[in-house]
Amino acid sequence: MKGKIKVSRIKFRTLVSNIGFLFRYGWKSAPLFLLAALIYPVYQQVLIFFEHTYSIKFFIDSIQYGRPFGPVLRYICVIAVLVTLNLAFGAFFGHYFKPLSLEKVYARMRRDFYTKAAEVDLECYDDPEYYNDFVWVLNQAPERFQTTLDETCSIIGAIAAISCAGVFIVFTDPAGLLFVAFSVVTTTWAETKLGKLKFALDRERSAGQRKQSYVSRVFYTADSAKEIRLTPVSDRLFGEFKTSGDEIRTAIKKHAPAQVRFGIFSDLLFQHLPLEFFYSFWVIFRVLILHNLSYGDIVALLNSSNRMKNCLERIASLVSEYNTAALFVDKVRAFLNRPPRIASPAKPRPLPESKWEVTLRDVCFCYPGSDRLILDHVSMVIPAGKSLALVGHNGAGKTSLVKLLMRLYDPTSGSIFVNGIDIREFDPAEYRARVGVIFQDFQLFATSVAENVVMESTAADDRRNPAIEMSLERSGFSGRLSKMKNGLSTQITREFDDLGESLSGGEAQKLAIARVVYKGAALSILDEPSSALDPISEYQLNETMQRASEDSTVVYISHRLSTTRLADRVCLLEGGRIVEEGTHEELMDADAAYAHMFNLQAERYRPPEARINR
Amino acid sequence: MKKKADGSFINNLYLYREAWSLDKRRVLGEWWMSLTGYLMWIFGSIIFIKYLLWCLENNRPAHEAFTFLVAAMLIECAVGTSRTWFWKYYRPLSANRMYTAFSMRLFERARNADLANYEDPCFYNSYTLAVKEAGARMESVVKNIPEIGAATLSAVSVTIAMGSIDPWVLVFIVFPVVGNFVFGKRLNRLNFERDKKVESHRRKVTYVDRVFYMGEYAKELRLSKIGSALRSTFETGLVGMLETFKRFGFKSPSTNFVQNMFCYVFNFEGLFLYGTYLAIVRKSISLSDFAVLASGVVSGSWMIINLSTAIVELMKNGTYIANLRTFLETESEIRDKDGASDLPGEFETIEFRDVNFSYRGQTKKAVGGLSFSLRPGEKIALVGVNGAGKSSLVKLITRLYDPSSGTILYNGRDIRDLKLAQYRKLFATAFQDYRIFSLTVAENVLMRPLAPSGTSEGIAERRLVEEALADAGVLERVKSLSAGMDTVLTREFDDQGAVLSGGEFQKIAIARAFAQDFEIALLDEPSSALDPIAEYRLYENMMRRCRERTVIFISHRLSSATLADRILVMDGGVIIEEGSHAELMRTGGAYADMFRMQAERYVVDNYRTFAEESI
Repeated sequence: MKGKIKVSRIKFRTLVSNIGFLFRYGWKSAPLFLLAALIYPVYQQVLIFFEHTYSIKFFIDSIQYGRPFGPVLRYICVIAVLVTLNLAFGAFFGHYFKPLSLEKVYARMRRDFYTKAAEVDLECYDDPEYYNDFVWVLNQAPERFQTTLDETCSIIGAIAAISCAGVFIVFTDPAGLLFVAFSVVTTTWAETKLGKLKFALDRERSAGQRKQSYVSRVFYTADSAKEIRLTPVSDRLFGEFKTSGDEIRTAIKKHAPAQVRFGIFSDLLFQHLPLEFFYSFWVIFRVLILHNLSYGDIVALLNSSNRMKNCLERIASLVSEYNTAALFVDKVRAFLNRPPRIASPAKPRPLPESKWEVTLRDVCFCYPGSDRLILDHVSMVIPAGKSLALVGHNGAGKTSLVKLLMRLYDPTSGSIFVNGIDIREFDPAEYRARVGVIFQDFQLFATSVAENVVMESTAADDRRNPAIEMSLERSGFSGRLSKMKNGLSTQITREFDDLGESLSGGEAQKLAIARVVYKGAALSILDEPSSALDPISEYQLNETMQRASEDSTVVYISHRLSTTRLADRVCLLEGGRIVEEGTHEELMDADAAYAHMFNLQAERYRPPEARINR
Repeated sequence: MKKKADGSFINNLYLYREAWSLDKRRVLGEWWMSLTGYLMWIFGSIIFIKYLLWCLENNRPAHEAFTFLVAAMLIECAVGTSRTWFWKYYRPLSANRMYTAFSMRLFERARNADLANYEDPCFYNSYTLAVKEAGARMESVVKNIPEIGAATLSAVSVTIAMGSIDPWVLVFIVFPVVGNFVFGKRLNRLNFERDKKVESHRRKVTYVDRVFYMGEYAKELRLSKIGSALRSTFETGLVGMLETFKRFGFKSPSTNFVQNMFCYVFNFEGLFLYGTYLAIVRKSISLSDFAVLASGVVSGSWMIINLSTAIVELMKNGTYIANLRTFLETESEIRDKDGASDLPGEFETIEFRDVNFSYRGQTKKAVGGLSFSLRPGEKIALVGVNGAGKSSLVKLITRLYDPSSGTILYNGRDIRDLKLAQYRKLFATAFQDYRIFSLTVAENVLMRPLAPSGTSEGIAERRLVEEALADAGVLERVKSLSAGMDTVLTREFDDQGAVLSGGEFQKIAIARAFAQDFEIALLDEPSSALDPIAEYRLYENMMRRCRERTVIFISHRLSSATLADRILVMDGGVIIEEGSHAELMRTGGAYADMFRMQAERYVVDNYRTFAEESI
């Protein structure tokens, strides 16, 4: 998956606040679980100290000084009971409470994300970088919550273990604490420095890794399979893959030696020497020369200092993981906090009840982040209940114009009016509810036929809803519907239901048209719905659409000018401007660009002797 | 697709041998890492303590202990240095080297795999996973096998050391073995069952995730309230998941509890009890022996726990490697036969003789009893409703698939007897579902690296690309890009990369066909996203460029079919009509009907359609 987090470092305050952000989700949906998860490692580590460190001292001292067996027996029994309780809780927690609670946390995240994903401006989907990140971030969020929680618990546990060991050392051998403190401070410093070295390497090799994962994806997904087999492109990609591998290895060869040198140096000076060598020396010295430590003390002290060292290493390695988690949350927050540009006004106007007259006044439009003018001072009127066909070259601005009409974007300047009211004064959701759209790339959803028409949740027993049946009748789907055993409640697609129905392209399109009919749309938009259809299906579709959109104002886009000819008015766009406008006949008589385009297309449909020779 | 039935261990060895052939030093180095790791552990937790206590108990002189300490320190430093070097330098370097080399092998295999495999979801999923995870799994196997070896060796040595003090203590080492290998196994099975049940509900959740997050649904989500219906699908899925967890209740926790009692209580507390009893009551073991027992049972138990984790990992890798082997060892059906011959001369004919074909796992024939032949210079249009078999024909003629029965002959020779690469080179293709690669425009046209721009070859190549782009009608747009034809397309890994519109990308894909040196061009709805002018020019240019060459094109816009010498009308996988436009219009069959339907609205009053004329 691409959209990997960019390698960068983060401030401590942001880090804490970002981790807090993740945990708030836990706190709101499963507070008991979060508390238990954070406290449990402390209990566990204290117990481990008494089970494995203090106990050994206690046993060895008892052996050394010939103490009675009774207290030892009691100690073991108490520990056994405590550990058993701990395990019982751990089993319940890890295999029941945790998975259950995590699902609750994830569900809360998802609900938030869904709301946000549905309201975020469509422009976000046009920016591939933003979009890839966004999909990646949302999909990863639950998993990221869990790893961050686990890491936090691990750190809490490590701190608890260090504290136990520290307290023990303070009481038994205060001077020894000097060795330990020296090692702790220097190791922390060394890990930070090592982290920076690692970071430099990660940054330098990330470009190569991105390329390698791209090439790998090309080979394991089906999308490019035909090109791979029929063209020599795979050799080119092999080359790319190999070169990227070389780049990555060069980066490693360049940066790793510094890490190795520093690693060896810091291991020796800050860990082996102070903790293992000098400290052992010191302990042996106290036993053999000063005679002021018991045998049990030695074992427990060496054991403690060793545990401290291991826990420190664990914390150091987790801190860099934390950095990744914090960067991740940055992305989630950026996405959740992005205010939608298209929001409801404070006092939305009610939508007009009568047929819509749509007016564009001096509309200009650029896609956000680009200064290329897609629509350049466009003004036009579509009279109520009439139809308009938009024609023009690829990139003339047709699709952008209808996106503005749907209010998926707002104009950069100028306004769109419905019956004289600026459409920004309506609630966007209410407005869109009155706009019916058929796209070339419409989607069916894995729910019932009824819901695929109504496009919101319907009661389960809505088997014979006359309004839905009427819409399906008008869109020409009733023949297919009568073959479905469960009528309107039949599931579409086999996603969840093995008895679900799969529809052919033409059938699916009819179902999509029924949506527009059912909506009773005041404005219908047909964006190249027929481009993938064979002539017969196209013909039928045109007939159906005509019937379906009888009562509304209609905007067509089609490259097949035979379709646009059906419209009351035709509007030719070029470079974001209207260059010609009028009825088909008027434009044909004008004999300019539209007529040229039409004739070009029509030419070969005419008998040879009637063809215009050019 | 037959799966490799070999055991996990054999499968692991298979990948291990691969790794060995790629980097022997790495494989040996990992053994060094595991063995020294465990050795240092045993030394620190058992040998060192035992020696120290032994010195104290027997009143050895202090310098002996100090000498031992210094010697141990020196050895540890030396070993530690080698480990740091391996860990931070050699391992990442070798990991990338092995990943690169092994991936290349997989890609090589992937590009030769039958396209039919992509229609088999089972194969496709395992294969996708195989390539996607190849690097990670190889790393895992390379580290895991020495881990198993070293953990076993250490557990055995610790056991022997403890057993030599008192044979009865071995009982305590058996506990974690029973815990992990009996109850641990049961726990895995329980969790697996539970997860499987949960999965059926989770599917709903992931479906809703997809709909809300993916771009293709974005418009509908905004223009309707379908979101509410999907949210209730999500809530149903969630309730189902939570209920499944609750229904399984305490089965997993109780098994896990028993497992952990064996792993952490019976052995630890049991041995402490037994050991202190021996040392204090019976006085049969020394203090240092007790220390060995006490730390031995802790380290020994952890070694066994590590071992069982490593074995679980081995099993997981085994399943994955089975997929990988299936993928690597399944012979492609479409490949060069033994003794495949060179193309028999220049292209004279391609003939379909009673060709039948159905997609894998489908009973319906995509192509049923198809016969026709193709000669140099012919322009053929394929016409028919969606699903009539037009695209299947294109896939058969390029040998992306082989017929289920019947033969395709090139100059009278079965194409299955010819060298595949040579045969496919005859064709230039443009598909409706083309792909643009994250390479420069020029590379996307030529589909290979360009010679340097200074050389004569480079100049010629650039001219070729320019001509092809011009004929596809996209040269102006390409020139307006920051680096012209050397601009990288898509922002996949170049933030400066160019993102063009669907129509412009399609034109670049068409330019590929124009730039190629080919005998036969296959164009499968190449103009679907183009405007009328662009479409018109495209066909004009195509006919001009391909005057001497053969062209097969599929288009739903029948005006373009009139340009063809011969039109094949397909329905239900067979050719139902064949002939020139004029002939077919005279016959008045399916083609005439379709043509009339499309022509109807183009006809302005003073012209009458050809169709009407011929009635």
